[in-house]
Amino acid sequence: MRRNQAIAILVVLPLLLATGGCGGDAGATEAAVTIAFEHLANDVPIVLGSETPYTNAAGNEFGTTRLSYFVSALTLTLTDGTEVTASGAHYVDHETDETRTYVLPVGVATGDLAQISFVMGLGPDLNVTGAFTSPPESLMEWPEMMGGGYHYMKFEGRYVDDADEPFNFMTHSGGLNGTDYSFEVVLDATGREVTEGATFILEMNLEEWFADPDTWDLNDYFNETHRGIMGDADAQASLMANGATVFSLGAP
Amino acid sequence: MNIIGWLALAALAFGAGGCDVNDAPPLHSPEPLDVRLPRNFPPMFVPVDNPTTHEGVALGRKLYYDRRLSPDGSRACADCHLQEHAFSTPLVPGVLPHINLAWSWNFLWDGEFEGSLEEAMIMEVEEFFGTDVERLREPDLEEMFLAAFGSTEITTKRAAYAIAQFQRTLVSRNSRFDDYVADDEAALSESEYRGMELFYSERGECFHCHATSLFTDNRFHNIGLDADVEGTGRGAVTGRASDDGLYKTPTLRNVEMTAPYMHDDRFATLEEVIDFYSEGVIYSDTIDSLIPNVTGGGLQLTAQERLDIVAFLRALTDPVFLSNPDLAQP
Repeated sequence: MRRNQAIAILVVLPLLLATGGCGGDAGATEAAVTIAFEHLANDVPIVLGSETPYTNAAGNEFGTTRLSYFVSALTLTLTDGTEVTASGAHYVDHETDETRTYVLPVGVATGDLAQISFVMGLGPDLNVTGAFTSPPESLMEWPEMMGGGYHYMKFEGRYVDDADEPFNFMTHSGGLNGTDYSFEVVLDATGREVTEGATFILEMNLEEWFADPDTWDLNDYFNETHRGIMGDADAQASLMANGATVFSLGAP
Repeated sequence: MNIIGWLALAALAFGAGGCDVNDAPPLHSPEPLDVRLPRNFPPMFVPVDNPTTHEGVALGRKLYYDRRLSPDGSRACADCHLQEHAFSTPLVPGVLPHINLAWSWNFLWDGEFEGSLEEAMIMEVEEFFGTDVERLREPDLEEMFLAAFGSTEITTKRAAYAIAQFQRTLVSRNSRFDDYVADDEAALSESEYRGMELFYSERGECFHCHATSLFTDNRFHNIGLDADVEGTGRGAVTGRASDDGLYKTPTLRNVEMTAPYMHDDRFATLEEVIDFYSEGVIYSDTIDSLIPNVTGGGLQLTAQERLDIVAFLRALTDPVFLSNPDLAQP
């Protein structure tokens, strides 16, 4: 009898420890999840450079030289209603490979995924001057004279203007003088499953910033007298609206 | 005594012996130095193997001004980094000022050297100066090495580490612009204020590169100085055509005192610099996307705007930094 009890303890105790015998979510399993950021234009991965190989809805030929942005409050929602949010923000810079993968700082319950959502940019609670003290995030600062905080995005490049000359464009978004232009992106993720080590690909389709619902002719937004859009509330609102179709999930 | 007794005795002896040899308190305990920073400055990274101390800074300052650092005694750091010129010089081409280098991770106009401040100073001591430590073995310096590092052993690494400590005290943060940021609204004149508005706008387009309270992003840009940039600037270091014509963004703190300007000293005055940005920009393939109107010469500023922006740049002069006796030749 005593021998049987010992065997039972030896068998059951490890099982209890392995299944979280301390109580709580007995049976629940959490997985480490990674978000990979990919950047496309006209359905192909972008290459930074001085060339202008892409075309937007207005017919402008453009290329990109710099792309960096924040996403925040990234949330995974399972079909059973479980919701996990990674608080804080993640900085992405196309030139810096390590920023293009985001290992969520929280475990996610395994199961069928319903949607992935996030804030493009920084909501008012995060968009506070001084929140980021070191580069590269600190270099996203947004001047105090325009309301302070940080750029949500720097999407820069060159387009061929109406005079057939190269002209730089700086699609910089951010909160302007107290108005928040960050926005929530919700992507249908049905058919995808959260498993240990799962990676989900988040694609930014660059030409979509310039289309749907507002078609941007870059000649109107970036010219000799209108150098940029940081101080242009209408342009910021337009980017916010166009942003709804910019992101998609990559093939599972 | 049994075997256990002998082992215990041996362990005690070993332990006691180890204590004498390895754990002896240093003859001197350098006093930590807290470099005070305004709240809008980034935190300063200080490596654990080179904490900033009063004694280390004193030695670094001594070496910075001491020509014994060079084997033939011909030059010291301070010969090309003069305090009255914000630790730069108008006499030697291409000398970047030593201002706020504590936050830099690449050095020289083309970023030829990348690494920590300690690594940069080791490079300076060992390669630029070719320091012969025998020249440093003199009583005055030995005493300072003892105070800073706890022994009179003199090495190029210790010399470099001491200079790095001194560099961490070369913090410029007392300009009239800083007064303005600290809520003294009267610190700037009307023209300077207009210049600041222009600086922080996309019309002036200065702040993206001359970023943060350091007034530099510590990155590399082609600002449109030349049409032919092949094999120049950062590209000469990396071998990448996309880096051709790129040079490091210099800080604008004390820029009034660091003439002439650009990597090749081509502009003698701030007015010439602003004229260049206004009308002298030249297109090349690698020109930065932050430069507006790249085929039309640049910013096209009015005469008043040029005056205002130069006025603002002069408000970045830090008279405390330029005359601080703690930074001067000891």
